[in-house]
Amino acid sequence: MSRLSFPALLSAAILGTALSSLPVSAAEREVTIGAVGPLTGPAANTGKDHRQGLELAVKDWNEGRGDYVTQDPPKIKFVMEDTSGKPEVAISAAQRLITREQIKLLIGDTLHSHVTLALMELAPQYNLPILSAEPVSSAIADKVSSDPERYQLYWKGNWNSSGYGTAVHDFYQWAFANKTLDPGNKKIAFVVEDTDYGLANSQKIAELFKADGWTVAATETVPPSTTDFYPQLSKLREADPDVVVSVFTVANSGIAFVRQLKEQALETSHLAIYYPTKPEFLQQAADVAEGTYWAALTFSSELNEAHKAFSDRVEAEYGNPGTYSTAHAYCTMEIALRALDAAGSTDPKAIADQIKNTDYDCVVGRFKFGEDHAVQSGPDFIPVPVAQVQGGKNQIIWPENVATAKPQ
Amino acid sequence: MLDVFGRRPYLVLLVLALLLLAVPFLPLDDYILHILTLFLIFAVFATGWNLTLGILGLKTLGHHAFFAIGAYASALVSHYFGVSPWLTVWIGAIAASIAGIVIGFPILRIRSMPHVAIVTLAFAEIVRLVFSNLKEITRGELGFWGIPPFNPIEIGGTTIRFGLGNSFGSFAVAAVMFVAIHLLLLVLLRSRAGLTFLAIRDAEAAAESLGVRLAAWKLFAFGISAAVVGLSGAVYAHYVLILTPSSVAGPEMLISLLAMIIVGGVGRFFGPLYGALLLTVTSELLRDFGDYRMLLYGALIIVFVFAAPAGIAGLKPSLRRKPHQAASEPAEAV
Repeated sequence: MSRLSFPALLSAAILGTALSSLPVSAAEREVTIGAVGPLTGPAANTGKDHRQGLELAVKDWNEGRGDYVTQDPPKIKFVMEDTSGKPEVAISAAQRLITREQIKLLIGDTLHSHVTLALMELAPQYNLPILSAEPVSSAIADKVSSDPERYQLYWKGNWNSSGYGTAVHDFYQWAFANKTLDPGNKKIAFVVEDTDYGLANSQKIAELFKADGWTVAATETVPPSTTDFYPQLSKLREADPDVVVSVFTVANSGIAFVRQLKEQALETSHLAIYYPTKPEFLQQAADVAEGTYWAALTFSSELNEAHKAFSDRVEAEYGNPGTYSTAHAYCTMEIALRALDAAGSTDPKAIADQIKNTDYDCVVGRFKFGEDHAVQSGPDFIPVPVAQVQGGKNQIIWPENVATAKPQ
Repeated sequence: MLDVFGRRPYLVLLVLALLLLAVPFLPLDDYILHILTLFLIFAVFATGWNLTLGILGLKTLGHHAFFAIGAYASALVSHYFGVSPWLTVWIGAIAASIAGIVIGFPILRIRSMPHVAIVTLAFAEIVRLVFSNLKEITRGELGFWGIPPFNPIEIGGTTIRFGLGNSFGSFAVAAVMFVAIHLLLLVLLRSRAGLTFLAIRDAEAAAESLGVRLAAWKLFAFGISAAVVGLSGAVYAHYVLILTPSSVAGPEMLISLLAMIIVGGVGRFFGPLYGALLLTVTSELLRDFGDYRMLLYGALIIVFVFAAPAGIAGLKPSLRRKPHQAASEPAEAV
């Protein structure tokens, strides 16, 4: 180090400190948004996608490419902390963001419903608007409905598990009606991960099928990241269901399940939920996944130009293509940013009111909140289309008005 | 006994109590109080587990089941029957204690420590699966919410509230539990009971030959240990206000608490406390390292195991021995 460098460095440090303490003009107001999600643990892959989506939205916003509401949008500082998928760690993470980063809005949890159920309590305690991202469990909406006054600052950035349930049920009713599939003995079985996501979806689907006179032949739950399904498939062989629904958030589990299902040659209609949204599913299981139905193909860079453009942007920024999780997180952040912009202040009630009034078309669909504070699903909102793997590619086969191919 | 408790255990506990008493007067934010609250809850859990694992010498790997039983029992009774959590935490402790005695019976017949470990691990997995499958009551992995926090109390015209977001009150409950449990256990273990446990640990056959009723004392230890762990679970439930089987009875809880006991010092009374403090605080401090956080956390545990095989609590005696060792070496003949 030269003789002159230390004083120079010291001067620069002093100057920098002085400059940083100058008051910021109103035109340069900075608002900090925090997020919590599983950056470690079994769901870390999805947490990484969420972080990319959230960061990209903030980057676009700060660099003049945002979808602004006013002429004077705030600058955003974004900080994300890890929850490891555990409620008490999520609380630690959120409290750190609240007390250390002085966040004005929290996006969390980005994935887990049971973590969101814990985080919701912080909204009234800290007078903080909270917007969850991917969690779907209807238990969250039930909790809001149980005390709307208490949870007025909490909003659920995804549809309820009834969305998947309705889509799967309605698809099969349509397939049976047009003779694409045969209901057989009306028996349905589930192989799902033992998480709030797997259980919530299987419960809702089972309710709807049972209302049509179906019986649930088996509900097999497995720990996340399971890759050995031979015991479960042996039971299914005995149960002989006409429809099998599988739900996994970890791609490896889904790949293993599809592979072993084909190996066991069970004669059943299989519908997968969530894991085919991961690019690695088709990369590793295209040979055995042919003909598999799955939900929901809400994001497809192969079939949708806008989705492809988004995926390419993510790839240019991070070196990996965008996924549904990336896109959904991007849209969740867009909602938060526009609410902050429209509110014109960091008043929690004002921000929450703007979130409530959201009616916004984003990459994955139209975001509009219902009375239960959850985003609505369906053809007019965020669609829940059913796809099928055909010729190694995904094709939307239902509903008919958005289908890109006929079911096989 | 010196190895287990150190020189002045009551003084150490008094100092800890005074430090905790000073906390509310320090300018600490809710985040720090939350970390301290978690540390206190897990310290009680780890100390209770250390009673069987370290002091009695039974290599049990299923104490997170008692944590879950205490948590769920207290949460379910308070939620469904409207009973105050101030009462239900004791129901949780008793339920865990009964479970501890029940699992203690088959363990009495097992002499091999690896088998004790497997049996208790299997027991914990059974407990997790039971809570997971009783979806109508516990909501399974969907999460049991609606757990009431401790009822507010009035002290001198001030209302003290508890639960998430009420950091001071929650810290106070955890601190009172921490000091009270450690004091009670210290009194118990410094008495004939403690000597009996150590005798069983160090020479079971010899202890039995001297008239120690092994079965009765082991069951007693299991019951007390499970009750302490169950109480910590109940307090946890009424603080975090959400329970899932995997978060309270899953392998991650087992590994976290086992690490606290090992890093702190197995078989040393204050070991789990030091381990809980180090690992709870470190886990949060490492957030500044972003994606490398858990990697560094694991590395830290490995470093401590190698650097301090007897745990943090075992570091002090070895430092003090050096001057005596030097003095006892014979002088060389000139």
